[in-house]
Amino acid sequence: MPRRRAEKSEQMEPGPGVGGFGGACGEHEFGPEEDAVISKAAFWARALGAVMFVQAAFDLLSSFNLLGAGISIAIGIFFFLGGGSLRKVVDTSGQDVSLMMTALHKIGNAFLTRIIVTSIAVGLGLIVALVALLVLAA
Amino acid sequence: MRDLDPYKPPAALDPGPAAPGTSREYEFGEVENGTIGRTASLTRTWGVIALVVGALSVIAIGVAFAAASVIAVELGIGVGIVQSLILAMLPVAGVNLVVGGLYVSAGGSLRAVVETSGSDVALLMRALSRLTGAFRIEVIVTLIALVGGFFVGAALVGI
Repeated sequence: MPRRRAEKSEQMEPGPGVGGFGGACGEHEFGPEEDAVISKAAFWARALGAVMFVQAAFDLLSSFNLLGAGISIAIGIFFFLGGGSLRKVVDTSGQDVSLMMTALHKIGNAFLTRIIVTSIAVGLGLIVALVALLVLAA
Repeated sequence: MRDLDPYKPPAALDPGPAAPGTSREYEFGEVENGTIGRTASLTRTWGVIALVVGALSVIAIGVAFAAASVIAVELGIGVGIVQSLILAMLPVAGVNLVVGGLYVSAGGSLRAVVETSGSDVALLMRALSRLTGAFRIEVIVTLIALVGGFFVGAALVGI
């Protein structure tokens, strides 16, 4: 029995560099307080995703803005899926770290999409402003 | 007697006893730190963008407010209406600044998970709390903007 407890302890508390995401993963179970924090984050991440879908619907219905709607849906999907993975961290056991990493990856993708879209929008805005200034100056 | 319940999780995945309400500390490995670091950078970058947009909005609002009388003449409407419309943009700028600050802070906490050792889980929870705050504000503000925009649009087309 003592030997079995020692083996379990080693598996539950891997040292630095032992963990992994999507493969041989050093596992860890979050406690109730941590689950409460994760649960809130899951709820609001999914809510943000859902609001993005509503925004996409408004874009389509009000101005048939396909591009805006597509962008909102893409960002919304990542937030929604990220929230879903966070929810699974709370609801399941045995894969908390892997699921947390999946959630962070998806939320990161949502930010990446936002950054790319905003950069393109700012770039296009600057080009339009430059062209407008050149036309006015001519 | 050995437990033969096939639905019971494997013993290695059983967390075992921990302090009430919290789990034991855990040190994330290299692959996990890679994922956390990527999310930290993206979160912080988006926070900086939101801060810049918020700051530029405040400047634009200030400039527009100073030129309100000129805009009113150009549009042929009262100066008071123009000033009200310009000031109505101020909360949006404020929200960008607050949300941007929260995202930068959350990104900082996530970065600290990668760069420090001994409190990875606590730092991750702090980052998630800040992300939650930013998400909550975004959800509420977007809903208000959508509903407000709908009613303003409906009023303009005379529904």
